[in-house]
Amino acid sequence: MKRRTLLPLFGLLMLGQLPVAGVAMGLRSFVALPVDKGGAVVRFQLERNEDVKSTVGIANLAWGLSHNQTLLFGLPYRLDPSGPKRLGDLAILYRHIVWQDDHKQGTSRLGLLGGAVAPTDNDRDAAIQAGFVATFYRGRVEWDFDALYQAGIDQRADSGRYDISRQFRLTPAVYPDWGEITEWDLVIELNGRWREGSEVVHQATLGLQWIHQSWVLEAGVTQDLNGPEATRFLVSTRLHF
Amino acid sequence: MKKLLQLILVSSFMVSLLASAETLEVPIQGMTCPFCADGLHRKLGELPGVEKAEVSLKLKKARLTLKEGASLDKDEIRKAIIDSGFTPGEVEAK
Repeated sequence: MKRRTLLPLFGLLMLGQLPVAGVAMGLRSFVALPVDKGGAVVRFQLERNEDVKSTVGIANLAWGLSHNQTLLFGLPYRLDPSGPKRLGDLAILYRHIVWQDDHKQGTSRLGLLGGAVAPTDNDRDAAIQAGFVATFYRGRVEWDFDALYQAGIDQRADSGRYDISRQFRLTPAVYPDWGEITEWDLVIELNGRWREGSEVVHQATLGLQWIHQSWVLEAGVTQDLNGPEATRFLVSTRLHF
Repeated sequence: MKKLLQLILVSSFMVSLLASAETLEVPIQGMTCPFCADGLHRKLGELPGVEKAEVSLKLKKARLTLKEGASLDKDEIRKAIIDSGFTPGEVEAK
């Protein structure tokens, strides 16, 4: 019974409120890390919800329009369970880094987000979305904060999310002077997901990132702290073009 | 007057070009991880006359090795860094 109740709720959450975390270095969050002008980052992500036995694949693309302007796209597809309406809605976001303070120890950035969610099914309505993202990087630690609000049009419910992500570079403790680097980062996050008519579901995420020069492999586990109390497993890869 | 004008023009040209310098280094601020700096690495490597581009996250700088006899405009280097989302310092010949 619980599973029957949770499955549609989970489906709604996944199909209607998916992240567009194309270039994020947080596991589930946006960040203000730059995408170079003309460059693109593609991300493929699998998220498994063990409680409702559901698996969703998410394809993301981040495209750098300029040094401070990025277009982000996200499209989810439900792999399991099978059935109709597996394709989620297309999320489109424009990110403008409006403030940036680069210095020897790292960087601080603030970006504004605006965009829309385009339904891929006639049964669902569109949404507009707006938010912000901030990044603070010092030495081996990066903090990312983001929040996004989606205002539903017509019958679509409003929704929102927040992500607080801390990434710590485990190795190397000190970068070599020159040469190609591979690094391991530990990621700890506090996330929140909200949908009109429900309470905010707060979540904790723990993960690892294996970061190479042109690709990243990452995995993590997310536990709901309230609400459905679901456990999710996430694997993802990012490629820079 | 004409000679003075020519001198100014030639001087300006010489300042903006780093002719015959084999290795150039430029401090860069704002880099955070190897993946984030990949775009910068590629852009610097694609600059005309560059044989090898290296980026150091530790030293916060890039090093460009030029092809023999090649020259490179400082502004092109700075533009590549800015387009990658970072803040360049002064380009220096090594």
